[in-house]
Amino acid sequence: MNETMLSYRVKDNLIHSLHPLTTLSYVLVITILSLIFYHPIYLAALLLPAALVIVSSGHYKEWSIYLKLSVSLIILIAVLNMVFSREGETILFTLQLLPGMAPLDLSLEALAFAAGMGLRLLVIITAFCLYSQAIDPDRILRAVAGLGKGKTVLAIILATRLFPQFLRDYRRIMEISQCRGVDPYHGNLWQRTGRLKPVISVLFSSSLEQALELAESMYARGYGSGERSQRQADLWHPRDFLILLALIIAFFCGILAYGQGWTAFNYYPRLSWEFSGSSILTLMTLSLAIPSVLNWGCKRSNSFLSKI
Amino acid sequence: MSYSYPDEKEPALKKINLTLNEGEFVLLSGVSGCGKTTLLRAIAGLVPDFHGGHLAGAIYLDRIPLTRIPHRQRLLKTGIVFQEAERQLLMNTVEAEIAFALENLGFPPALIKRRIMEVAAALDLTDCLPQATATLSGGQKQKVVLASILAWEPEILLLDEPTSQLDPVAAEQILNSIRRLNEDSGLTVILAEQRLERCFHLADRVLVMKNGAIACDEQSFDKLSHWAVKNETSCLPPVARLFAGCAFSKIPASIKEGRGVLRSLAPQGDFSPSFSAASPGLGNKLDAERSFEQPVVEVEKVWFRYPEGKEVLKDISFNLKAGEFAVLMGPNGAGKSTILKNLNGLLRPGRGKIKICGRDSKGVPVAELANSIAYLSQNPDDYLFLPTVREEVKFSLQYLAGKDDIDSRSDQVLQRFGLCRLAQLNPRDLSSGERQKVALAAVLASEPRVLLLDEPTRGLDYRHKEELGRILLEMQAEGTAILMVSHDVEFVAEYAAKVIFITDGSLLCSGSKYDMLSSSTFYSPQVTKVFRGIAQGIVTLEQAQELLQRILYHRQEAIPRLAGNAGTGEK
Repeated sequence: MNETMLSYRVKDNLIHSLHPLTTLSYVLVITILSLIFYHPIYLAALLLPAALVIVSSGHYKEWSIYLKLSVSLIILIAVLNMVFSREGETILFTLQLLPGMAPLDLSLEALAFAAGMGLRLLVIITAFCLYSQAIDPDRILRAVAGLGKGKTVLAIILATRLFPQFLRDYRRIMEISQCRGVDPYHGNLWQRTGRLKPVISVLFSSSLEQALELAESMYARGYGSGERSQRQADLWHPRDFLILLALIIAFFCGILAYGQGWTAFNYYPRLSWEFSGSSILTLMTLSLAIPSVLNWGCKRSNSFLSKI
Repeated sequence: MSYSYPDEKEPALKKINLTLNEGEFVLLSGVSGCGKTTLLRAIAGLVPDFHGGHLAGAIYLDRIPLTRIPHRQRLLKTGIVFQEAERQLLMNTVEAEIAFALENLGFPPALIKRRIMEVAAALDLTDCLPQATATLSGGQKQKVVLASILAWEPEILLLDEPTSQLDPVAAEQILNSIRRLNEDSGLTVILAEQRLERCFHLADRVLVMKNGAIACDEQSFDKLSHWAVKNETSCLPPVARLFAGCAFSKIPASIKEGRGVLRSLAPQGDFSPSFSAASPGLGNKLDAERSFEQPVVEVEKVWFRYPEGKEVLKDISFNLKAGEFAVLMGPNGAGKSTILKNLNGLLRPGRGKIKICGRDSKGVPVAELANSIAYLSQNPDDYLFLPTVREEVKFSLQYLAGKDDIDSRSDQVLQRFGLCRLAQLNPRDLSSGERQKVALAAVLASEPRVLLLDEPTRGLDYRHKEELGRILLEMQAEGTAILMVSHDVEFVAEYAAKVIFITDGSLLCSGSKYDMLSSSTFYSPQVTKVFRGIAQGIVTLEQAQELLQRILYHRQEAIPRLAGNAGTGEK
């Protein structure tokens, strides 16, 4: 994990020019639908437009770092699910881990379930990538501060500010640990985990201190002293309304498909390859792809962005 | 007024009676932990409002008790800037950061925009407004924090060591901006600072704090200097200590006054070169002996760039021999810390070669290099994670020096660093100076041949700096090569031997501290500035005092002679 993944950089394209609440709505729609969908085709139909938005907004490089991280997590999920799940009927192979121990049956269904959950994880991570790369934290905080007040905003501010700092601190403390003769990459998993203990100890102590200092600085600069003003409200453009309309359509398509039971998928005891609602799925995917299509249009024609 | 932090038995502030007048520039001085920060927090209303604890007595702002003034009204009158800019920055861009407080305080949008424009122009930040705060240099970050406070035009500005992380040029810019605001707008400034040489001349009034109480409160520099000579000379800047050390009855406060006194003593400027201490014999002898030794650190044509970044180091070459004490100096962001990280293997050069103790460091793991090269980073807290000081030292011995005889060796290290009485305490409960010493003891426990230090005097008071200097000189005498990054010109002048100037990733020049510091405008200690044009090569306070005493001695001898000549003439 590195700072590039979490640090926002301004880019000159339509995605970055959207109202922060529009982009936040997009992220939320993708995340909510991914949490209620089980069918891999429906999950893939969420991943595809989200990936298009990320790539078209110029964040493929950052997304690829997220993808690399996700792959290791997905493999871990697959291994654990195959080892511990006993519900599948299609046995791919049997594993004898230790002599005298009952053999482990590794089933196709367990593998497919893990792949499905991995796909869901991928969609959620892609949505998070979009949140961190395409939404200006200053603008979203301003927008959120306008909606609510108090502890929620404080928590968001501290989290968005401290998480990249947390990663920087982790890297710095790992370096110090190495300078004191500790090789964190040497030895077996148990030994390596043991060597991380001091790093984590320092990391948590310094994070708490930093959070306190930041909170003090916010308090000293009037945070929570009364009603806030805004130097500049983010403007709503036609493109925002267009995308919000597309999101509403996509969300209702998703809810409709969910209500009809089309997004369910029977992994156990045997895989059942049923698929329904192709037209609703297509409409949902196309609606979610609208931001990338508009962005593509803006790249083709300079005047297009000013028109929308 | 007295104040105790929550769960603390000992009060942090004790029976403070103080009246501050509008438009004053007050300098708050005193050793680490004496209560400077707490006093600033109390004036800003952060204690007990934010930190809790118990406050006895009262603080009045315009004759109204602080507790009766609502948070927002209080803020409109007082603004506080803390020590570490990095830890106060909250927003992504400079403009949003400056606007943050104004928005919190409910300023109308048009006024917010105007204030941002004005304060950015005043602090030379206009071009930085759209920039991400993470991309700014240390000096710029501190300016942004200052701008975010000044934007709402508080009547009282409270500053807690705002220049501790800055190079001399950036520090001077910040302090000049503050002084201008004090003079032009009548802003009341209360500045807590350890590096007195940077700000003493700006103050109208000096408060010296000791153990949570105000030990001295003087507007007259004469009275303050006489008090300091008797009680605490460390609350005087080097130029004043120079004259105080030679028993002058009227002690100059600034370099200008000091030069005036020197000129009155020797109007012809005839001190140099006969009294100059520019040629320290012992140093030259040691240098001659070392010239035949194999360097322990060899840096040959090193280039380095961070991923997605521009070239940070460009063709850097230098050597360091056993027992050499060199300092890397230069502006913030010049690449000094990057050089240290290339030496200890945390970063690897793109081109060029680095040899540590004759061995090419390429491909050698950091943990293995750590046996011969110790590194103390800017934040000593990163080194402290075990429950006691003793265990911290043992940890280093265990990983770096083998497993033999760790108990007795750790005792020796603790004794050497004067840490025996703290051995069973949690290092994180110690003062900043003590934490620094524990971290240093931990990295030096394995007796490395090279010691790398990154800004080790940051936030240290004079007492802890002297102790650090003593330890470093001992290490140097034992043959440890020391390479330090520092902006603390006074410390470098007193203890180091060699200075390497780095700017924009390139080696600008290097040489003995006498050559480098005496020929620099900003990177020179106060005593050098006082003697500039009068005597060359004066860098340390001891040298300067010796020279000043000789001057006084010769003058005393010359006065009867002159009087005699005058008498003859009259005849």
